[in-house]
Amino acid sequence: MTSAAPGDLAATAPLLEAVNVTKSYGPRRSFGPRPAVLALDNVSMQVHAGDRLAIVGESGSGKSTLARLFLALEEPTAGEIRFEGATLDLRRGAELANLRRAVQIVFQDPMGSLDPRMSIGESVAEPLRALRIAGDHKARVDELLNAVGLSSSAARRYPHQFSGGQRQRIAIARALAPRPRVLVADEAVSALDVSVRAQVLNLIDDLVDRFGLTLVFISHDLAVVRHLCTRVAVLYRGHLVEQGPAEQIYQSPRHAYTRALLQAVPRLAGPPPRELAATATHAPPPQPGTRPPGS
Amino acid sequence: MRTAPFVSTAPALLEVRRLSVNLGPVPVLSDVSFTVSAGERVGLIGESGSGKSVTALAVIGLLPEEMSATGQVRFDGEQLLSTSERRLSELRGNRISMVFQEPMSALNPLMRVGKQVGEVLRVHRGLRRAQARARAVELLARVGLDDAGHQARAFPHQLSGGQRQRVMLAMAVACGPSLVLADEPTTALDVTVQAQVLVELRQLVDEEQSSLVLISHDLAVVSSLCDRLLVMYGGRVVESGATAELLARPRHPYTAGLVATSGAVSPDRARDGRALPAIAGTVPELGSFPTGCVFRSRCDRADEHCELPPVLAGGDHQVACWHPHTHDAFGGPLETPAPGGATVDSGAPR
Repeated sequence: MTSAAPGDLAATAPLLEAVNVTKSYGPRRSFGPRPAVLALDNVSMQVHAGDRLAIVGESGSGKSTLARLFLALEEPTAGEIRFEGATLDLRRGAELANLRRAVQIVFQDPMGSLDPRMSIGESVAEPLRALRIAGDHKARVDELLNAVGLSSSAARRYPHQFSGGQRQRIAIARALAPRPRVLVADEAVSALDVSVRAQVLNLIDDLVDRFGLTLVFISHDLAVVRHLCTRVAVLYRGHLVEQGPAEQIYQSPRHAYTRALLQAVPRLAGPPPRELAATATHAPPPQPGTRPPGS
Repeated sequence: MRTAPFVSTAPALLEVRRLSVNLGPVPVLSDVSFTVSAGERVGLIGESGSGKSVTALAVIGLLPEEMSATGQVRFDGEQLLSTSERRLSELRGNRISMVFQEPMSALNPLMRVGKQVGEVLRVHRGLRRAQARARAVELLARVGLDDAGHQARAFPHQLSGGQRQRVMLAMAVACGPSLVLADEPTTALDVTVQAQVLVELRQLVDEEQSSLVLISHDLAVVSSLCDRLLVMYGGRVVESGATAELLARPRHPYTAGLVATSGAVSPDRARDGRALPAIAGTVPELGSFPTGCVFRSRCDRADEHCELPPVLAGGDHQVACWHPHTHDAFGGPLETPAPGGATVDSGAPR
């Protein structure tokens, strides 16, 4: 344990924790024509070692904002993010370096996160250099590419020479390079073709087991989440409306929004949408910055 | 309102025969043939590069200039591929309409949405300004836009994605079209909004008795709405049949893989820790699909037969495969693939 907290506390403390986190964008005081946009409103969430936590919600729910806070890419407006029990402070470099190593992210679009002018080998080794991790980087890149199902020769090629699914494998290899403890996947399979999506889901599933990773899987897709995750947190317009074990959320969802979300997922030869019409929510789509009534 | 599965006995409203589209020397569509009967809802399913969007663009005469089409597209007896742009303009938005994935790029950002809906009626029905305005508000209300009179005065950027797509639906059905082509109409929308827009799309085509061609990568979306499915891969139709039949007894290895994957990823299926059934490999780039059967580079049944292109054959349930899956009479589970695909099933087209 590298935590500064006393040993007995560190054993019980969650790996990552959001404590009463609020995040707003825009002007600090909300006078004038444009009030601040409230992306997250008083959200508390714990990620324990070994969790497979899904954060689900639609656009504007605040799920990606929460990911950015967990990665210390931004600071909360109020509340705090704790890593191994210690409050994150973006001004303290040493702590931050520790977090950067331990928490890595895979984004939706690998074309946007891989530098087109860097070879795959350079891209995958980049976090090792940036975090000043010693060792044989070339051997590590080989090992990583093989772990995600690519051959070592991929290291000499460039992003445009790969398909979408292969690029996502590369992005995963790069995220795993510094041997993180937490893998955050933000809509990591949403842009993939159906036939390729299953391969990448199997890969993530496999790697999480093999490397004992803690998974934070951010998605709008409740079908994929049920396959991959054991715990689910549902966000709606910046509010955490429900969280719990996956089976509980899927079998007896308590919040009306969770039920609406589950009902709305298209099913293979499921009931025609007409039957859904009566139950589907007719609330306007979630807009950041507005408070839903009664939550 | 229909309850029983659609049985096509009427003459085809749309008949596509041996449609091929090339981008320079690169084939984009090869020998695509299918029909859509009046009132029928047909799903076109495929991944990127399958040619499903190009098929729709060829039908409606909006192929990019650098693409050239051969074959036949007959709409209500009229050959569309060779008809004039003027005639196509008369048909588009009137008897055939199209809904695109991204309404933000299909709508004019500088025109109020009510006026855009009304424009369709002014052009095709010769309505006067005030009539068109009133009718546009009715249409917007019909597609589920709250406070349509007020929203008609909004510009596209002032609406949400779901509201914009409803405006597109209102434009598409304004003239009571015989055929609506919808290309991934809900892919860019949130899940709950998608469910609502699909309900509205279905109600509209029911009320107008329009035929629908729904294009999607999502088998669950098309299967919930369509009577019949066409599965496309590599610019070809590889399988077609009634939705229930195709889902219960997929014959093409690609369809079987899609059905298995889509069925295994479901909110109703508890996590069991097992790997998902996956289709090996990746979708080749345009122009690098294999010769012969386009799927053979990813197929576990492929052998030397597959170097020749299979023909789409069969009755109501057609498949283009040398080694299709067979099913017992009770719709039992798939047999395991023959090792190396050594045997040719009796039902295979030769």
